[in-house]
Amino acid sequence: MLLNGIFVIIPVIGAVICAFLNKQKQAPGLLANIILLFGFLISLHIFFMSLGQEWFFGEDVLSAFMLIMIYMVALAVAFFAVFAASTKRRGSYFAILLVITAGMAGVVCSQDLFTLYVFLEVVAVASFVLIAFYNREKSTEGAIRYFYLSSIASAFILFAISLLLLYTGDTTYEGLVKTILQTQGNSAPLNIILGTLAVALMIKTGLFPFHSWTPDAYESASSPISALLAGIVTKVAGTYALVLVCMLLSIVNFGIEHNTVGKAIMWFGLGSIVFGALAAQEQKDFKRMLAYSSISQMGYITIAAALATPLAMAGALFHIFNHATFKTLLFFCAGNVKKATGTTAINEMRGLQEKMPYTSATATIGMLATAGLPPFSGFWSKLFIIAALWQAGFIGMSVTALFASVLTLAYFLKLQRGMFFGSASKNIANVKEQGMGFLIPCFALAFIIIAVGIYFPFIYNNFLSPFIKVLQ
Amino acid sequence: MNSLLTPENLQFNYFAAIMMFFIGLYTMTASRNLIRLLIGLEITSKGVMLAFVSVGSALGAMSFVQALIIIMIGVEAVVVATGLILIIRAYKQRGNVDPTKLSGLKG
Amino acid sequence: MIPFFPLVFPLACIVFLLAFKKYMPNTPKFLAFAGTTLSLVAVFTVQGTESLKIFQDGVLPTPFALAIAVFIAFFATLAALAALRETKSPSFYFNILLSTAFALGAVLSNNFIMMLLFWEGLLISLYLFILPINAKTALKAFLINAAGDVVLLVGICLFYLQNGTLDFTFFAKTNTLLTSSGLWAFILMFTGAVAKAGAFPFHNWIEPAAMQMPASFTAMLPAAIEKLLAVFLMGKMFLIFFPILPATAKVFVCALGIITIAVAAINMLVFKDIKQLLAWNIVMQIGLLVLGMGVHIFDHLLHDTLFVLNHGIFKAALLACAFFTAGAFKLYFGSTDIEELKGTARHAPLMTFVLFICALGLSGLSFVDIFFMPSALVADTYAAMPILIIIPALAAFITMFTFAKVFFALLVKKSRAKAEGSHIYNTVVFLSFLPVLFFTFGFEFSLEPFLAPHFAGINLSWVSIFNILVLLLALALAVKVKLPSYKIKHNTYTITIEAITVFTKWLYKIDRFMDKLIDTWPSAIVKKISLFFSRAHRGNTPQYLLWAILGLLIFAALVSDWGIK
Repeated sequence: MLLNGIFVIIPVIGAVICAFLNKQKQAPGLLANIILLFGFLISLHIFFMSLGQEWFFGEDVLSAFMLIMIYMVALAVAFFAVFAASTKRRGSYFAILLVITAGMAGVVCSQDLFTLYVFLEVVAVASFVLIAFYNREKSTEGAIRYFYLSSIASAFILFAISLLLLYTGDTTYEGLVKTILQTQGNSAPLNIILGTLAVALMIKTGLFPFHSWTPDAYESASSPISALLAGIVTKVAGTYALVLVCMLLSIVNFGIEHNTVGKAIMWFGLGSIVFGALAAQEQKDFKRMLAYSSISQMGYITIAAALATPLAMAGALFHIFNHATFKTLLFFCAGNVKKATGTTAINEMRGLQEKMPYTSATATIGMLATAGLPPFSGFWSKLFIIAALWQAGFIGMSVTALFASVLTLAYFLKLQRGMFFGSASKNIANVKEQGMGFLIPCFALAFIIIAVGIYFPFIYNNFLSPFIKVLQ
Repeated sequence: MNSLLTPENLQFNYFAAIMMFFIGLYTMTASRNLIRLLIGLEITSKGVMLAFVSVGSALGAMSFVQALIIIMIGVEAVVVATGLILIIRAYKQRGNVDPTKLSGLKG
Repeated sequence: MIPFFPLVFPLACIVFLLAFKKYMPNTPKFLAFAGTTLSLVAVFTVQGTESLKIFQDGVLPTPFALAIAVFIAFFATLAALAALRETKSPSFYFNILLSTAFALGAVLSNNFIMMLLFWEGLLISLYLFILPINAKTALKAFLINAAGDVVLLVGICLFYLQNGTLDFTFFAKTNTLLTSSGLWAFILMFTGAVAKAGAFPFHNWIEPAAMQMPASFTAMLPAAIEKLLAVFLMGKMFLIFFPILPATAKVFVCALGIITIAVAAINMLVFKDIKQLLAWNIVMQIGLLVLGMGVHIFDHLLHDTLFVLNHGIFKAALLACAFFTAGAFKLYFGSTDIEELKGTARHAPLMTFVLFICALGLSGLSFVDIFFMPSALVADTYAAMPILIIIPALAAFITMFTFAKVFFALLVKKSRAKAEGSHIYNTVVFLSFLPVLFFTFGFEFSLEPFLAPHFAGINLSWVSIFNILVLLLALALAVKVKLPSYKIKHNTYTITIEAITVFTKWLYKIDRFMDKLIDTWPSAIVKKISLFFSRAHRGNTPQYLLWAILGLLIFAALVSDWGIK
């Protein structure tokens, strides 16, 4: 715990320092980037060190893996924000960015449900502030909507904790695991506890029908913040905890028969997949479409996590990683487009490919990866998820997920035609490609997507099969 | 520690807590003023805290639960402060605090 | 990685093309040509397993796969060569290279996962090909192919679950008939395999694509490469499913073939344009192939492999050659519409002759084809179920009939200006004609000793005569319909023609309905649902909170087992 505590404390210290550097132009960004870079390298080191070790909630391979993702996305966002953030109060901006990173690190390193709650609140408050950072009407509205829904979710979590306290006497994960193992089978109180927790986390993840804050928050925040939100905050705050809940659920009901809570989560996941894919078809705004696409992808992760067979868990975690990379990349490209043309409406700016070739190329890579086309990384994780669903006997769900994949492809192609390819419209005469600073994170993420996709057999052998064997 | 609450006697407390929770939720959905929405949120939180206190009392682990509640109060204070900032900003931008008029983001 | 050596060249050329396309405007053409040619050369250097049995799998690709790879690279080279004459945007050449790379990768891979990877990669290159010309057609082609790939994917997953391995070296060891999930695996894989080539119901994209795209694209991708890929996958499936298929599988395959042929035949009868006709020919050929498989499926491995190889390579060559010829017509005379091409035979006799030979081959004249395969098809059909013989006969009949209409238009004595433009284009036509010639006359003699004992059981003479009779009948009918000066005497003849017209009109309407069912209606429904969702989000915060509470109630209901079966 001590080692993992470093990931929480150092960004907080950095945040405090940054807050004092409010008027400087370069220093806060530089400091934030350095801290996050170090954090990323250290988390990589820890991950590779802990690969063979035992499974233990809160301080294990899963936490190290999530830490890598948190720091990776936060680093990319901080780098992007150095160029894209057009605010005078840079110190506060980067300070809160570091605070949110610290909060997320705390979420994944916590070994206790109450600690989880506290850090979730930290992440939530920091994200409200970041969404509403620029004094725009839409940002305030998005932040308020997220505020209310998120607070309801926190209330639910607390409720679940109180029930847990009543039932087991302590709030740590080990206590929970012990209790589950003791009461072999579906005990009603445990179902209620885990069910309430699941509802709360579903709100935080943005699954259907609790999704209503997601499009508004993503659309109204500025681009680096949207990337941060979609890329990692929703995942860590929501999906990671849901995965934990599902792992807990699956300790007893492993492949024998599924818990009703697990099944209910699966239905909601399926609903999100279909809803997200359908609702994104007729969107007129790039960021809103990306938000609905996020809802759909979260549905994939949730349905795989709730299924809880080893293959499904591997698929869910791998998809979390992949989605972090491609959604962040897509939001960065949206940011580039917005900065270059002033709007993110889809059909207004057509034919951007000639003026912004790098942005279009990386955006295309991101979109194809999200849709699950080979040889990008999204193909493999989606394949795992669908295969796991089929193997467990949920054939209808598997087929629906497959068709939603086709729908995903359809709206992305529409987007591509309306924005990047297609006949050039007259408005784009003065558009120029963004500078290197904006493009480097895009390139890095695109590179990761392609590399993971191509080297998948290597990754499968070294990371995923041991993981699957461990779970078995 | 003598207490009238045992783990079996908690029904009434839990009933009250759940009632408060849903009253808060109702207030959140049925109010025409953002401040009332926030108050509804507070009622919800207080319901949960009531649940906590009763659990702690029933289990006899009051010190542990007191620590938890103090942390919860602290966190909630920060959350409420942030919420109020957002409401003030909304008021300054629009001139009213009606949640149904807060509809710039559609679709 | 050794089998993927031929892929290096197209991929290297792609990298060069992307890097240097701004500096030298002519480079892409030559790079495309170089890439495809080098890959053709490289395929010859990849050694297959050293055994006479062409269906023994190992780590390296089998001679079967290599043969297909050779022809894929060959057709790609021809397409690049044809495109050398016209300057197109660099993305066209990029796409040629990309398609070559992916197709070769699919054929040369040694397990299903890699093959799927490359198979699906072809979707991207197909979309990118059509995109600059017509975005709507591109999307349609992409979605239809994607649906076919999804079916293939599901079939392969089922296969994996059944057998636990995705390697190509798997043989079905048992002699028991397949269980239902294995049967589903076969059906889905088969449908997915032929979906790329244009079987029903994945055939609707070929016609618009062929009409709008330049000839070199159509000659390369749908006509040749995709058919070869379909053939390759079917060849793989022999090894896996032989000989354990129950009768339902055969019935399914036959039905698929018959429906495809029917659809293609109906659409061929209403053509106005050579490219349209040829596009529907593509569909009909794959229908014939499927029917042939279904009729005598998996009873004799050598027979079936040869049948499939022949069909894939030879018919692909014929179709590619025909498309190149159509492209030549367009280049010289400005269009491929029948009305405008009247009387061009005297100016381009060579091309007309080539087209004629292609027509004969496509209709299934036995002597124009190696291994006497069309006769074998007819004979097998007769052996399986005598009444079914009407289907290949009808297919041959309609093909010849429609082609005859084309030739009569071309041969009409009408004076027109001499063709302009250089005749170097003819070289492409001849190069593509090479496989046709080679197969027809060269190969036949070398394989005769192998084939004779096998074909001993089939009486080839009556089948060949039957074929020729059908073709002559078609020619005669075409003559009757075409030349207006011939007096139509028989009443029954006119009534039959009218009945056929009505019948075909109705079948045509049914096909358009199927098209609507698959293409127009789903998109309209999806759009409506999406707009409904979009309007439901009106920006009203309490409404969203209510949704959340509703979700909570539904969750509680699901958890407490109320409503779950």
